[in-house]
Amino acid sequence: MRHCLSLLLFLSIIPSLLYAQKNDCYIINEDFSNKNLIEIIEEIKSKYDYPVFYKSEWIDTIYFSGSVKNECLTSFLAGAISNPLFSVNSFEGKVILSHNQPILPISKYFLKVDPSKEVDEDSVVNLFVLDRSVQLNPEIIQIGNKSEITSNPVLVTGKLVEKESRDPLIGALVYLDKKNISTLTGLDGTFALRVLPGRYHLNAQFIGMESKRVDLIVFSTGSFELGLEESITALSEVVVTTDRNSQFENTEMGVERLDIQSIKTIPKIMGENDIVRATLTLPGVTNTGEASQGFNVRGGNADQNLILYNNLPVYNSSHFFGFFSIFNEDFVGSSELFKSYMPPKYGGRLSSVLAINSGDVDTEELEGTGGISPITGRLSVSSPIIKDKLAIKVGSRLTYSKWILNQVNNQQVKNSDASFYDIAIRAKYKLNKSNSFYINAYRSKDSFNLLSDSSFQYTNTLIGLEWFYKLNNSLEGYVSTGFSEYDYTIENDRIASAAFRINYSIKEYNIHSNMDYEITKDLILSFGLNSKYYEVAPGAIIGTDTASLVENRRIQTERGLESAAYISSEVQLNDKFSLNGGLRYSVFNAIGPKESYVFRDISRGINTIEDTLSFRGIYQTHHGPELRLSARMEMTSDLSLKLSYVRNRQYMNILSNSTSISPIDIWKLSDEYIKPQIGDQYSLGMYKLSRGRFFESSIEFFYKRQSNLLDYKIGSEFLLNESIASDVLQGEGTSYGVEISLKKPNGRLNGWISYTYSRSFLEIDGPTINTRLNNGERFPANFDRPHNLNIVSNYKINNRFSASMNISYLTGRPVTVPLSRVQVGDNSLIYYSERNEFRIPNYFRVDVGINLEGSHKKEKPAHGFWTLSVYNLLGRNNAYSIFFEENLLNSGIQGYQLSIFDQVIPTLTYNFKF
Amino acid sequence: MKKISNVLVLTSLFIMTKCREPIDFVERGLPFTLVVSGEVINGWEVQQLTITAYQGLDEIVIRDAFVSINEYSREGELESTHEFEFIDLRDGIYVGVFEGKVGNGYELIINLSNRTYKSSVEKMLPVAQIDSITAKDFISDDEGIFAQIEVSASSNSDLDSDYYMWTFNETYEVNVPFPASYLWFNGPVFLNEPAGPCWISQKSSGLLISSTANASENRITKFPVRIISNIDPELRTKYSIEIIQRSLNEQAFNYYQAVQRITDRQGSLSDIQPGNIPGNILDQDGNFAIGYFTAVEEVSKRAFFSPFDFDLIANVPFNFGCEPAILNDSELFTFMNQGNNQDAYMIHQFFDSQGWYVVRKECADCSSYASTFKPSFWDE
Repeated sequence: MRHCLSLLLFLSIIPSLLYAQKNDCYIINEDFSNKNLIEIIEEIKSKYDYPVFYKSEWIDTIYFSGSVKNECLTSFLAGAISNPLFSVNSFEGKVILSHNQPILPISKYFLKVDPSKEVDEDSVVNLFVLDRSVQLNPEIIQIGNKSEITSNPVLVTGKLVEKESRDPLIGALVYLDKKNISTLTGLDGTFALRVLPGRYHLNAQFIGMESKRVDLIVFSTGSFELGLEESITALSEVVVTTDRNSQFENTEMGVERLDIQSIKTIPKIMGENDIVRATLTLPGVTNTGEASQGFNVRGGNADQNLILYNNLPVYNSSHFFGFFSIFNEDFVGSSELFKSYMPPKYGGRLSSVLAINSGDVDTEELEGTGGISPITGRLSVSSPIIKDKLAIKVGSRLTYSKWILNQVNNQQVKNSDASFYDIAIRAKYKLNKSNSFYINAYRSKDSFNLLSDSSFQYTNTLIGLEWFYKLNNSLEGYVSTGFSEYDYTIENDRIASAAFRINYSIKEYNIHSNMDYEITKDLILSFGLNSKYYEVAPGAIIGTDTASLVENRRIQTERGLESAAYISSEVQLNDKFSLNGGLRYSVFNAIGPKESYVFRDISRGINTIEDTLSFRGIYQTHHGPELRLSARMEMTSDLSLKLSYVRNRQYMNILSNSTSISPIDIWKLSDEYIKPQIGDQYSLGMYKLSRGRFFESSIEFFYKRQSNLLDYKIGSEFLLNESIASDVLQGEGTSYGVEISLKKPNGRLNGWISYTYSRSFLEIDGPTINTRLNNGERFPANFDRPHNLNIVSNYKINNRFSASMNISYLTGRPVTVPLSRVQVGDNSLIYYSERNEFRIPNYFRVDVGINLEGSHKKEKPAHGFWTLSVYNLLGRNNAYSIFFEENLLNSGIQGYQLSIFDQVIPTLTYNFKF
Repeated sequence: MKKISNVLVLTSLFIMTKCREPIDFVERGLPFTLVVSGEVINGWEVQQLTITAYQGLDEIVIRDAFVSINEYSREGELESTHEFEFIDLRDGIYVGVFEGKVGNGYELIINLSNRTYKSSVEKMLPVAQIDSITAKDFISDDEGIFAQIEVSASSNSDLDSDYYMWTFNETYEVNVPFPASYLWFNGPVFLNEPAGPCWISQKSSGLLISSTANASENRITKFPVRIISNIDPELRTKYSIEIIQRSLNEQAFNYYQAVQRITDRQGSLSDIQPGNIPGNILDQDGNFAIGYFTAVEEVSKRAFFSPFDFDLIANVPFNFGCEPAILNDSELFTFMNQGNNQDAYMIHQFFDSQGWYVVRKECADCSSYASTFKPSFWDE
C-alpha cells in the first residue's frame, strides 16, 4: 500500500508539470493550403491578436500546407520554418523569430579565432532576441583607449565569471551578433577576440546561467570582465553537455559530458552529489548493484574504465563499499565519459575513460562552499595568494559515522567503526596569459573496524602537476605529471598466535605531454607522449603479536613501464563530412627482478610447478598499435550520422574472485603468462535535433570484441597468492547493444531519458577441465543487464524551488544458482548451475529531490540552500544479490535475497556558499 | 586466511542485517553426476569409499561397480605398484582391506558399465601429533554464551604435512530432569530401575581445515573445532570429544579450501563467484565426479569437559522443555484416560505429597532418543 501511495503521488505531479509548460503557449487551430508563411503569420496576428515579430526576408520563400490543431504558435512556426539557424522565442508575451548564430564546434580550451574574418563597425542594435532570457538593457563596455584607435584589428580579451561567486565559467560560448566570430572560454574563464575597433553586440551564453548581451565599444586592445547570473532555472537546469549540440555536431562519438550543475539535479543519496552515481544515469553505463564499486560501460568490466581525476589515475573511486564516490562535489567541475571513440591521448583501458576535472581556482576573491548532511560534512575554501596570479583551493569531507555508531544501543556496534575522509588541494599559478600551472593533491582514507579485533583501511593518494601553455595562436598543449597510489591494510589480532597485518599497494608514476596544432581552421593535429611506471606490491603479511606464528612473507613486487606515442587529427573535409582519427602505439615492458614459475602442464596447476626462473631488467614486452577512427556525416541540417572504430590495449588488470569488485581485489600487470587485454569496438550512431532544437535524440549501436579477458578458476584466492598464473584464465568477450537517448536540455522541465539494450558474454575455453569455465561455452558476464532505462527529470517551480526525479530500471544481473544439495560422505555441498544461468529480480527505483534556495540578496555574506532528497521513494527492496545456504532442517537449500536499501531513505542537506 | 575474507563478510553482514530475507527456491536437480567420498587411511584398515550418483534430485546407489585402488611405492630406485580391489558392501559403500602407508601414492579407479573414472595419484603425508584439546568460554554480544573447543598440534618433523583437516566425534551424557518412577499401563506401574543415564553421539559436519604452510613453525595453536552454545544440551552434564586430525597434501587442501571459500563467502557485498570445483576424479571424457579422493594419515585424541571447566557455562537447559503437570490421583486418571497419548508421558514421583509429576517421556526416560550403553571410553 505504501508503494501504491508513492506511485500515486508521483503520478499526480506529472499533469501539473505539463500544464505549467503550456503557460507560455498561444494555441492556434487553423488549416492552411500552400500558403506563404508571411501570410499565415499576418492571418494569425489579425485573427488571434498574437504579437509576432519577424523579418520578412527570412521567410518569404516558405510555404506551408496542413492542418494545425491545438498547437502552440511557437512550435508551429519552428516546425514550419524547420531551419536550425532560426529560432522561435516567446518573450514577455511576444513571439519573436530570430536568426540564430550558429554554434561552432570548438574542441579546445583556448581561443579559436578566424583572423581572416575581421568585423566592421556595426552601430545597428539587433532587436531580435536570441534567447528569451537575454537581458533587454545591454550594458555598454568600453575597451581600450580612444586615443589609440587604429584601423588594424585589435585583441580584446575577457573573462567570464559567475557574477555572485566570481567562479570562472569554463567552456562558455562568446560570440558577436551576426558575425561569424565566436569562441569558448578556457579553463580560467578567459577568452580572446580579434576585431577591428568599433561597436559590437557581444553575447555570452553558458548553460545554467542567464545569457548576456552587451554593447561593446572597442577602441584598442584591452580586456574586461563579464559576470553572468545564474539563470532562473539554474538550480534545476539539467545539462547533459556544455554544448547543447555536441552529440549532434561533434565528430567524437559516444562522449557524455556532465557538469556539476547537472550532477546536482540528480536526487542525492545520503546527502551527497555524486559524479559516479550521475554517470550511472547515462546510456550504456551500469553497475552490478547499489553498493558495488565502480561501474561497467558497454559490457566492459569495471577495471576497463580509466578514471582520471585532474589527469591522475584513480584505482578505487569508492568510499564505504561504493555507497559514495571519492570525489567531493566541491572539487568536481565537469566530467567527460568516452565510451566509444576514445581520443588517442587516452589509453590503457578497454572500455571507457572518465575524465573528471576539478575546474578552475579563483585567483581574485576568497570564497567557500560547504554542506552538512546526516552522514557527512564538507567544506572547501579557495583564496588568492597573489591576486590574479596564485590561488589555492582546499577542501575536505568526512563522515561522522563513528559518532552515529556510538549512539546505537549495541555494544558490538559501539565498538565498530566505519568512517572515511578525503582532502583535496588544487592550486593555480598563472604565470602569464599563455602559461598556467595547477598543482593537485588528494588523499582519501576509509576505515572499518567492525569487530574489536579486526580492522581494514584503504587510501587513495594523488599528487600531480599540470602545465597548460600556449606557444602561439596555433600551438598549445599541456604537460601533466603525477603520482597515484592506492593501498590497503587488513589487520586481525583476534587470536594472538595468528595475529597478522597485510599491506597491499599500487603506485603509478606518470607523465603525459599533449600538443594541439591548428594547421588550418579545418585541420587540427594532436600528438603526444604518455608514459606510466607501475609498481605493484601484491601483498605482504607480517605477524603483529609477539606470540604470532604468522610467517612474515612478501609477495614479490611487480614493475612495469607502459609507454605510448600518439598522433591524431580532426579534419573538417567539407560542410557535411568531418573525420577524427589517430593512432596510438603502446608498449609495455614487464620489469624484473622477478622469480617466475615454470609449469610442466598447460593447466599451470600449482602442483605442476617444475622450475623457477629469475629475471632481471625487462623480461617481457607486449606492444601494438591502437587505431582510433571516428567520422561524422551531416545528412541534413538536423540529422547527423557517426561511425567509429576503436582499438585499445590494457596491461593493468584487476583480479577479483567475487561477483563484483571489492576494495581488497588486487591489480595485476601483464607478464609472461598474462597477456594484455585487447578490445575492438565498432559503433554507429544517428543524432537528430527536433524542430526548434528543443529535443536532441540519438541512437547508437555498438559491437565489442575483446580478447584475453581475465577470469579465474572457481574458488581461487588472489590475495597473497604466489602463483597467480595458476589461477588466472583468459578468454574472449563479446558485447553488443543499442543506446537510445532523448534529451531536453533546457526549459523549466528538462532532463533526459536513456534506454540501453545490451548483452555481454564471456567465453573461457581452455585445454583442460581446470582451465575451462562453463565447459568452454559462452556465458553472460556478471554485469550483463540487457535492459537499462533511466529517466532524469527536473522541474523549476520558481526562482527558489525546484524538484527533480530520477527513475531507474535495470534487468537483474545474472547469478549462478544451486541445482541441488549433494551429500558427500559426512559432508554436503551445493552443486551449482552453469555460470550465470539465472538472474536476480529486476531493479526499479524512483528518487525525488526538492531544492530550496535562499534569497539571492547580494549583501548576504553567505548563501545557503536546502535539499531534501528521497532515495528509493517506493521503498522497494531491490535485490542486490541472491545467495544460498544449506538448510539443515530439511536437508535442502534455502535461498536468500540480499537488499541494500529496503526502505525509503530521506536526506536533508544544507549547502552553503560564501 | 579465512579471517581476512571474514573482515569483508562481517562488514557486509553488519550493513545487511536487516536486508536479508528468504526467498522461495526450488532445486532443479543435476544431470547424472558421480559422487565419491572416502580416502585411504594409514595402517591396516577397512578402507571405505562411498560411491553414489545424483540424477535430478535423486541420489542413486551405485552397485556392482569395479572399484580398485592402485598403490605406488618407491624403495630406492625400485618402483612398485599394487592393486587393491574393493567390494560392494551395501548402499554404495565399497570396502577394501589393506595397509595405507605414509609416503606412498594412491590412485582410485572406478569402472562403471559405460565409463571409467580415475583419480590423480595422491600421496599420503605424515601428520603432526595432537598436543592438546582445550576449551574456553566467551560471550558474543548478541548471541549469548558459548564454549569453544580448540585443538593444538605441533610437528617435530619436517616431513609432516603443513595441511590439516579435522573431524570429530562427540558424545554427551544425558540425565533426564525427571527420572521416571512409573509408567502408565492402565494405571501407574512402578519401575524398579529407571532408564538412564544415556549418551548421545554425533559426528562433525562441515569442513575444518587449516594450513601452516605460511607460518614460521608447523604448529597449530588452539584451532577452534567446535563451538557449543550455552543453550544447547551438550554441556549440561558431561561432554567428550574425540578429534581426528588428518594430513592433507597441498592439492587436496586447495580443493577443500576452494569449497570452503565458496560456502563461506556468500551473502556479502562481494560474494565469491559460486560454481562447481572440479575434484581429482575424472572420467575418460573429462567429466568430473563430485568429491576428492586422497590419502591421509590420521591421529586422534579425546578430551572430556563438564560445566565446571568453564566460568560462564551454567544452567544449561535440557534437550527438551520439561514442565511437569502436578496432578492428584483423580486428575492423573482423568488426564491419562482423556485422549492423551499415554505412551508419551511418564511419571516422576516425588514423595512430597504434592501429587504425581507427569512429564513428557523424553524428560523422564532418555532411552527413546539416546543410547543407554555406556561408551567404552567414558570415564567416571
